[in-house]
Amino acid sequence: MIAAGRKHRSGTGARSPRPPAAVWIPALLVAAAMTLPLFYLVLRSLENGLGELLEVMLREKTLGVLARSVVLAAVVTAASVAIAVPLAWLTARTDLPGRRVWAVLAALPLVIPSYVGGFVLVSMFGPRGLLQDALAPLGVERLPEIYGLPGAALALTLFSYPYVLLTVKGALRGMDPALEEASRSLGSGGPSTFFRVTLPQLRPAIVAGALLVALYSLSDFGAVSLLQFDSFSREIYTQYRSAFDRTPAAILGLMLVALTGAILALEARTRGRARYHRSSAGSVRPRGGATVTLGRWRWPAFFFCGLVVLLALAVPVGVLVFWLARGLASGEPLRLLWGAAFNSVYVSALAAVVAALAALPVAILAVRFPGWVAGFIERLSYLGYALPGIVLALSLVFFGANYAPGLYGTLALLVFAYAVHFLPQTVGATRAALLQVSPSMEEAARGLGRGPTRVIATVTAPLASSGIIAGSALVFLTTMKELPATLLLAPLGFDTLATSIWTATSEAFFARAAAPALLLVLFSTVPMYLLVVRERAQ
Amino acid sequence: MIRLSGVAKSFGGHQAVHDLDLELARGSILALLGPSGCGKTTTLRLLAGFESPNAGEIEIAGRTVARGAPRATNTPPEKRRVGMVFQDYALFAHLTVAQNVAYGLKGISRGKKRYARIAEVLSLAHLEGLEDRMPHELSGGQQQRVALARALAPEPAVVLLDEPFSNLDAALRVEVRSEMREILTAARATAIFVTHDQAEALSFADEVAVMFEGSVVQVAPPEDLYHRPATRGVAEFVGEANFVPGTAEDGRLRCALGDVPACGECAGAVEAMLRPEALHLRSLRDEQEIEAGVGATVLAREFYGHDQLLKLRLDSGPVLCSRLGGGPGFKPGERVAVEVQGQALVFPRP
Repeated sequence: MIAAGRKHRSGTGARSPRPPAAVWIPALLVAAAMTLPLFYLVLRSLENGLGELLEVMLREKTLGVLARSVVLAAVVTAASVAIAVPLAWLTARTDLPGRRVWAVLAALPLVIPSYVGGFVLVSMFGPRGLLQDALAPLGVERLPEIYGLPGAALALTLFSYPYVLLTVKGALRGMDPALEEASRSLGSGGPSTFFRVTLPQLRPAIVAGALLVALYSLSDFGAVSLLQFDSFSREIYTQYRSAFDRTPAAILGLMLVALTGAILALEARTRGRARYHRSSAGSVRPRGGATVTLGRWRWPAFFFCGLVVLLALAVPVGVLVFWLARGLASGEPLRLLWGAAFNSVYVSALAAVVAALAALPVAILAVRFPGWVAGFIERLSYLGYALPGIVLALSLVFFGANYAPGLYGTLALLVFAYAVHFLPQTVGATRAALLQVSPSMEEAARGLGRGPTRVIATVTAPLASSGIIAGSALVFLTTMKELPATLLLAPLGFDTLATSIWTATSEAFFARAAAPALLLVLFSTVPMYLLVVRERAQ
Repeated sequence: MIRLSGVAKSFGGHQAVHDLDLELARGSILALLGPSGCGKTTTLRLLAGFESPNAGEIEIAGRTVARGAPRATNTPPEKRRVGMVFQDYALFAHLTVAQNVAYGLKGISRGKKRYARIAEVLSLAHLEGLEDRMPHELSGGQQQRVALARALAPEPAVVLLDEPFSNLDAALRVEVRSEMREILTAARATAIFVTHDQAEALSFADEVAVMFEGSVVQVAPPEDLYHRPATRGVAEFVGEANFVPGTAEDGRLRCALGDVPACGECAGAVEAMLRPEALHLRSLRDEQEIEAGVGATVLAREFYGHDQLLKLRLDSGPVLCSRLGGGPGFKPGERVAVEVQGQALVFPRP
């Protein structure tokens, strides 16, 4: 204990008390930039006074939106947990036929952006959709309504349950097998051990994954808009588009931020506990636990996995390929696609570079100069997570229109929005990479005659480069998929893959949406592949 | 010449180091020895410039590099000419062995002189042929030597080593220790190293400074430290020690072991320290046989090969330890006569 205490001191608090100016000045600038959208959103919401704020908040319509959003998030979260927990257990712990293949396939729906999923559902089950076309000769005139809650919940569940799957699988792998063995040796059978020992240990992982799903369904814009479900995201967009007075849109945005903020706070709390669980379970043995024999449940389990993968992966990809083939056959031009693809890559690369550069000072401050200031700045850098894309974009539209007309409608403002939105990803990755760099390496470099800024350039940054690159690659790929901010902030005539899909789908030109959608899905597979490979390597 | 005078450093409310005085001549090797938490690593980091003292003054090679309030100054680490070897070596994982060694040679521009220095240091540290390896491709002992070579390359005024051998397994440690000592001697370097292992300190250093609770209790060459520890605490920490109460007068000590020659600056009621190897044992078959020494019973025996440690109970009560050579020893329960060879060191009784 004494030794640990001493180490802690010499490792952290005992460092040179003030970070170099090359670190704290940029970090402060980043923090200021992060607060700008939220600050302006609050300002704008209060423009017509507190009275109007309350009046809009308590309108029957607003309360309806709030209720619908909460119901959607609850339904999607519950359904995701119900699908993902059995899937995780089956693919991690049992003799399920083709277990490894299912493990990869079941995680893959994460690569399908929600608006592509929405497009697939609409084009498949909607009026004038594929299913109706196929059933028309049989005299089926009407299909059950896909628009509204059922469609939105289905789309979001199918493409976000992997969040729960991945966290639960991680927990299953990290679990100390001795605990289950102890339970077995104490006389509990297989099922009893699962419910009394395994499941309680998975609880933090389930909660963490479920909160991610809830957050995703609240902030999602694409699926709810295409499936015409009036949750916050869609209502904000409609208000922004149609209403002359845009203050109500800002107020709705603020309410959504409050809702996601509450969920994030919950998530942070469970994450802290999950970490504690992992570190306290000390075992040198290979982790993961015994394989369970399914017996006569083998084939039902197999069909369960098959059904999920069919609905969440095979159908969407199949539908996209079908529309692509149909479009190509009818002479749909691909020229538009290349322009949009180039724009997507270009703007995403810019966003990745900006986010990586902005993350470096924040992460260095947080890791090497911990204290309440550094902690506060790091928290601020995570604001991007609490701001759903539509709200962030809305706030920047207001800001640009009122204070920076020169910036409004430029690529710079769009890249700024991306950087704010996705900064948490680069800060997280850079922070993790910096934690791997032993501070004694930096001290060694200081002792060898290099000043603090030179040390960052010659030792810290090169050593953390893999993490920094991984973080910016993640930003690159999430930017490619981003829809609402692109929709609101892109310069006139600047089409990306995401906006092409949106435009084509909302006008029911399904064949035109298929090519960019497939391309996006392909791009998104890269980080997913890396994730799976990394999981294997562990 | 390295000098610390009246140095104090606290973290929050905790005094890590206080009233610290220490001096080291050029070219010698000093061990900072003490239990964990005694402030030895803090002292090293104060010297390196990673911490700044709250009070006192630190001088390296005739230059004041840090001074506490008032008139506080603090030369940054990169301007102090100290080479540091870290406990985890802190080799730059993205650079080769040669690039690691070259990192500190920024004063010397590219060209022959730079390469000559790199080659010189690498050969000094017996690293020829490993220039292009990456740190992770080296054994623990090799990494250790690279860390030392890197620290030595810019010809620092002093090399600081933080628990340099703690990451090596016991079998390798002795070998690496003598290698390191050779390298440091060949480079004629001044060095300070931190350790909590008294055997390491005694065998490696020219001078040993013992630290307890944030300040130096005694600085002495290893032999003096072992035979003339300044306090009872030092005697206990450095090597094994027996303590017996007694009365001292005119260089003689009267105690449970009889009348023994004594040294030390006090008289009257004292506490006397005897190293285990000062207690010689003879087998005692017949109780009438005692001519010299006092009777005792063997309680336990630890056999180490090159020597052995016996735990005894004197007939008058006290339990003591005796160290004998590796030959045949005495069994638990056996009767022995204990005789003191050499002097007892006396301390005032607490």
